[in-house]
Amino acid sequence: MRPDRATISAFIDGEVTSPYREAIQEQIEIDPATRAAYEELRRVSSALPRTPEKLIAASAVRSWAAIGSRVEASRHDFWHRAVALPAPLVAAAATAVIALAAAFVWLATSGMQPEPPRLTDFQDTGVTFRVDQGEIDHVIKWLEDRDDPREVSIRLPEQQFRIMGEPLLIRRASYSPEQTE
Amino acid sequence: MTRVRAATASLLFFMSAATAATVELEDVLQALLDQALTVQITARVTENGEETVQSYDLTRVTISGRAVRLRLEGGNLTIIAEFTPFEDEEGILLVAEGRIFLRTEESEEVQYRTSLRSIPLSLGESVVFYPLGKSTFDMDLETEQSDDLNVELEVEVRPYEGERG
Repeated sequence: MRPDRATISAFIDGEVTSPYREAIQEQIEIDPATRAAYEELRRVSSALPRTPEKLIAASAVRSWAAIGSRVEASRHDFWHRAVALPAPLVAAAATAVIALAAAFVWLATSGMQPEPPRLTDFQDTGVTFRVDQGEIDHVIKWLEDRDDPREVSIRLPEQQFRIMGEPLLIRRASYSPEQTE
Repeated sequence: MTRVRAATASLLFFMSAATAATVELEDVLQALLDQALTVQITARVTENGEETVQSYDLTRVTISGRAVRLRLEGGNLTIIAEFTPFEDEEGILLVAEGRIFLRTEESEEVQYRTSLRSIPLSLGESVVFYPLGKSTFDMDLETEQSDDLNVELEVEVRPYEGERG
C-alpha cells in the first residue's frame, strides 16, 4: 500500500504510531515515488515557521511565572503582614510565656533535667519542601516525566464508524447548522 | 546550664524550621490551586446525529497549558483527543486536537486523520468537538444512511473550586 501525502506528512510530524510508522518507513525505503514525496514534504516542513509552538511555550512560561510570583508575594506577605490582636489576648499570651519560661528554668536548675527534643518528635510537621523561583522548573520537569495518568480510556460500541466530514469545534450555546467555527 | 541553653536553642530551632516549611508548602499548593482549572467532558455516541446511544462523564483538574487526554476505542475506530486550556486575561483559549485511526473492512486499510482546532471561550461556557465531523449540516436525510454512529465531546472549563468543584 502506497501512503498518501497526508499520511506521509503525519509521519514527518511524528504523529503516526506503531506499527504504521514502520510500514511507512519501509515504503519510503523501497518505493522511489514515496521517497520523493517524503523528501519534498520534509523540505516544506523544515521551511515552515514555528510560531504557534513558540506562542504556546510562551503562554506556559507566563503561567508558571505567575505561580512563582504568587508564591514569592505570599511568602513576603507572611513575614511583613500586620496582624491585629486584642490587648487582653496579648497580655494573656505574654503571661503564659513568662510562666512557662519560669517553670522551665526551675525544672532545669532543680536537678529534673527536661528530656531533650528528639527528631522523631517533629516528624509530623518537619517537612523539608522548599520551592524557590528557579526550582519550579524542576517541579514541572518532574511532573512531565511521570507516566501520563491524565489519559482516560473510553470503550466505544463495537460497531462500524465512518468519517462524516471535517472535524468541528463549536460553541454549544450558538449551535445551529448555519453557525460553525 | 550549658545543656539547658542547648536544649532551649534546639527546641526553638526545630519549632521555627517546622513552621517555615509548613508555610512554604501551603503557599505553593495554594498558588497552584488558584491557577487550577476544572475540565468537564461529556463523551457521547449518537445515532443519526440525535439519539444518544452511550454517554460518559468525566472531570479532570488541570492548569493552563496542560492537556487532558482521552482515548476512545471500539469497533473500527480509535480516537485520541486532547483538550488544552490556555488562560489569559480575557478568558480561555481551548485547543482541541483529534487523532483518528479508522479501519475500513473492505480494503484492510487504516485511515489516519489529525486535526487541530481552537476556540476562545469564557469560563463556564460549553463547546462541542466532533472529531469525525458532523454530516447532518449538509446531509439529505432521505437519501443518506440514517443509522451512522457519531462521536461528540462536550467540554466545559471552569475555575477549580476545591471539594465543591
